[in-house]
Amino acid sequence: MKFFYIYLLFSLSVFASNLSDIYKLYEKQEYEKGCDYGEKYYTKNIDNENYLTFYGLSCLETNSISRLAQPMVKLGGSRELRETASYFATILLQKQLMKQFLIDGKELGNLRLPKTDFVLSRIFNLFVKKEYSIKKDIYILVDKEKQDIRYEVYIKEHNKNRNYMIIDIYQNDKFTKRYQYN
Amino acid sequence: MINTIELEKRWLRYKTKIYRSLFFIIFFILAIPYLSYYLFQQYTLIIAKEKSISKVEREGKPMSLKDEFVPKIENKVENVNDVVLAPSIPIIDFNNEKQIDNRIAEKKKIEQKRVKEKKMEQEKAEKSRLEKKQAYHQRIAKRRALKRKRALEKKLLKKKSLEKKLSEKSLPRKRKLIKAKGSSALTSRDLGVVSHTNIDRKESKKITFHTTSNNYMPIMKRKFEQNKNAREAILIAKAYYKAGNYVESEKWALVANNLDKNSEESWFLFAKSKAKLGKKREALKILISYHKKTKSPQAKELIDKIQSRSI
Repeated sequence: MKFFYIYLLFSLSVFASNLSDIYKLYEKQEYEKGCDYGEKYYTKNIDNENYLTFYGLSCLETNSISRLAQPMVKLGGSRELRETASYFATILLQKQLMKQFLIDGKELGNLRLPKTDFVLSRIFNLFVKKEYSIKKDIYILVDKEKQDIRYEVYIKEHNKNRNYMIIDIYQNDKFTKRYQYN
Repeated sequence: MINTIELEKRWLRYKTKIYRSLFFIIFFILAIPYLSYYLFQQYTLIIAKEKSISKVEREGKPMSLKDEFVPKIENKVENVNDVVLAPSIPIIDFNNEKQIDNRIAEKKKIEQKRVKEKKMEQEKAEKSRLEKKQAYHQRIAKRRALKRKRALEKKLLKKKSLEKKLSEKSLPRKRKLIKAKGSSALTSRDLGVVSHTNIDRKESKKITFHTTSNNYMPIMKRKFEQNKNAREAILIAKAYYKAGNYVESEKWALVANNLDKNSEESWFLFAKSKAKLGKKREALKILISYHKKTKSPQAKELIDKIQSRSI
């Protein structure tokens, strides 16, 4: 009987709503956990667009930005959700284009992609406007709107087939955050 | 003298004239269809353009053909506004979520219960199946045990009956010798015994038959002299033993033994006769040596009997 209760308790915890769990993780700003949790129960909540939104938003704040593709293709039930899907798609595209620019030297030219408030998007726009300086293969960018913030973008070779794009953020010359995208 | 150069020139001119006309004819044959197709296409294009112009004019917006086909790309680029995207964080109704959670949990609970019940049913069925199997096996085991028991009983009974037979054989018969009649016919007195009126039919009577005759020994001895057979010697020894002539019995048993060393009966008769003559030690010695050789249970039995002085 004791084991049965334990089993029941365990099963109830297993079948609790994933949405509330992911929301709580997002609220606590535990993005890494939220992103992993989102991926874990993705197939189970494939039709829950709120869940997918939180999954994407959690992953956006981590280095696993490529996971955005999963919720991105499934969102589209309402106007807001469609915009969120475009938001994810834009960020992913900008990341890929930036990598092309940094590794292959492909010019970004006069590209006019949608603007977002995400760091990567802001850096991309600075690259398009050619508002950067190069110092020892490191691109240094300063946002005009936020003068105290400086971005340093460079490529770090992991192995022959894989390169990481590193974005270091400095505020008042103090290192604050690093994004590392593969 | 004929001017050949002038002639050749004239001939060349003549030939070119002929070929030129042939070339023009072929050219016109080939060119006319192509030319007509091209002109037809041009004509249809002009008609289409005229139609579109007239449509614009009808709508009150006069537009030149030039304006329509040359897009102003630069102006277009300048007029494009930037698209700004922002994610919208969904608002979650936790009460609703809780309800959904509860519903899911209940559903799962019911499903689990169903699964559990199914499992229990399966276990029950398995248990009953096992019980049935066990009962079947038990039944078979019981039957086998019973069969074994019966076989054992049968065997025991057989053994007992055999033992009984042997003991009967080995027991000395009562000396109830009936004198044989001289003639084969029965007298009226003898018959009178049988025709007794007050015979109790329920009482079972054991009837023992003894066949003997007065000239049995001489006949047997004659037979023995003719055949020199151990069996006949044994029969003679037996007859002497029964008659209480143990000396003769011993003698004939020895004769039989000399003829057939493996004859058990000759050994026994010899020993028994010896015992009857008071030579028990010798009799035992003979029997023990025989028992050692053959491991015969009957010899052992006889030894015991001699030792217990029942002979």
